[in-house]
Amino acid sequence: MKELVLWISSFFALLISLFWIQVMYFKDVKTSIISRFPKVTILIPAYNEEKTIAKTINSVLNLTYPKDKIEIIVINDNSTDKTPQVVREFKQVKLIYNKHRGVGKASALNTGLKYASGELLAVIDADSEVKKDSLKKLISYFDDTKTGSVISSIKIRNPKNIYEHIQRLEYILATFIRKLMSKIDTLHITPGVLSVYRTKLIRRLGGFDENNITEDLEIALRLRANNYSVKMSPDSVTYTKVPSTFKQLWNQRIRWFRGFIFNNLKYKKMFMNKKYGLMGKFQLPLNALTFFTIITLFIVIAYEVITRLYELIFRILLLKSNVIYSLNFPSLKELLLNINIKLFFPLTISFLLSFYLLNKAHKSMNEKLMLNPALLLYFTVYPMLRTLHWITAFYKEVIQTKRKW
Amino acid sequence: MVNEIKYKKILMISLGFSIIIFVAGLLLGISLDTGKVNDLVTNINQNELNTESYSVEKEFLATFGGDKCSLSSPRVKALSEELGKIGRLLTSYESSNVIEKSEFNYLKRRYSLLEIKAYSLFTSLKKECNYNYTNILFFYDNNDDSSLREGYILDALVKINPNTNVFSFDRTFKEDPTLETVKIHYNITISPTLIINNKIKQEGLIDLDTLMKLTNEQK
Repeated sequence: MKELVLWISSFFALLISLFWIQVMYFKDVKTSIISRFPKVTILIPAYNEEKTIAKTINSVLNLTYPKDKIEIIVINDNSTDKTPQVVREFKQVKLIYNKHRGVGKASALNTGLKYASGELLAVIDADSEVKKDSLKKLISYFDDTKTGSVISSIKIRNPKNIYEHIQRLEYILATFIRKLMSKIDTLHITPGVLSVYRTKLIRRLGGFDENNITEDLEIALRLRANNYSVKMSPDSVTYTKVPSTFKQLWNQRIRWFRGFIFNNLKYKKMFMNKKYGLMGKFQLPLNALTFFTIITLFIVIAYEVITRLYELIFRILLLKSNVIYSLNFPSLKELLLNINIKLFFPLTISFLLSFYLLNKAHKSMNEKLMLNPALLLYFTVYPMLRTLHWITAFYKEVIQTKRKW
Repeated sequence: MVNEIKYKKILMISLGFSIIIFVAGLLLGISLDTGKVNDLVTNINQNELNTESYSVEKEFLATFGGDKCSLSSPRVKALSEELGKIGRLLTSYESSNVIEKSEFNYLKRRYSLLEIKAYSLFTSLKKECNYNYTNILFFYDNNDDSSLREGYILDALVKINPNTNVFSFDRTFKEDPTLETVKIHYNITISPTLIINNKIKQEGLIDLDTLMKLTNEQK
């Protein structure tokens, strides 16, 4: 049973890696030269962002986009620090207040949406920064009337500790995969670090879902459910701040993964539905399959670890200080002979392909792949931590604990 | 933009390559399994030859005169260690289903016979030459937790006291008539059962301290 699960999982990993590698060599969507600059309303929801918001606003003010075509709205989401005072320093910025208390970012965005006068609506997190030409690079994608949203390429600037370094690798790969998803038109996420929407369309669809902890995933899936596509502009570069402690990272990922489970279930009508093209026939089944593979792998590995630990504890209780004598360390020959090559071979190939994809992702984002401890942890410890995030998120969704932002 | 036909094509290519890689893995696995069996057979052959060599040497010296106790102790010890290694390999291959059942039973039978032969040789050497060995027959059952734990205890005992030789037999293995005779001879009915120096019979799990005490008494 254990072998079968590992076998199926490695086959799945191999198949998907090979699939994305082929997609990688497809030509990018050709974007036209910008013929006009539509008015863009930039919404910056802010909750206690006194330390970062000035940088965010400055980066927005430095955008190489016609100044008369930009409207900047900061929505103060009941901050208890000096965020409003900092924002008031910027005369070009409209500061509005979200009266709804503690219902999350979607509520703040909907408040901003009421005031938005732009044809396009850009959302930027208050701890993010945008590159000068990032907005310009996005606009031409809206020439296609079926494009509902365009997202940017997110980078982590100057990661400091090990958590940030690992997330840097994760973001590079995730951004690269999003680029590939955009190529096959299955992209279904609009992160808060500069995503641009059609204002009228978002209003028509009812705004952002205030009962959702991952409103960025929900709105993207809603766009897809209404047959609008989400595109990624790889040349539009933005920078974000990531969790720098274990606890922050844990809480963020539980929220994301709970949101993933909740929203994939919410839009299950698209699952295997031909009407939604590759999104329904490929991407959503792939999401579900990935999720079930992670859960099954966790059960199998946890069972194996627990039984081995139980035996080791029993051995220690039985032999006490003599336990060391009962351990038979295999020779190199025995070790090599005992490798399950039927499983090890495809797993090794899958690993090499993942590494190849990671390397390509770095090149595609003009980043350097560094052989450092973060890389080692990313391939060894981090997958286990991610699995724990998934299991915890799944458990919380099953027992229906309150979803908190 | 990837159209449906292109998508199907790349999915099929990915599937094709995945199957090729898996088949390659399977073929490599099969050839490695063959290598494992060959290695095991070589080990058994080598061990059979060594045991036979000792027996013939002993017989020769008994018939034509000479010091039959001159059989060097380290050589005998090496034989015991080799047997232990073969036993561990067999157990690991059995749990991972590396070897086909009929072939496995054949190898296990040869191994059991080899152990019985070595046990007889060691017992007679201890008796006739006053070798300071403790020879233990260990009857186990693969599906019994107590047998597994007795195995850990015996592993520890052999390392603490290198003059201990353990000969392990699967009590549930019924393919060999000689092994059946041994089981009947010692009236083996439960697992684990230990026969220490052909004198003491211990049924059920016994701890390391008790076992050390028993083996020390029997020296």
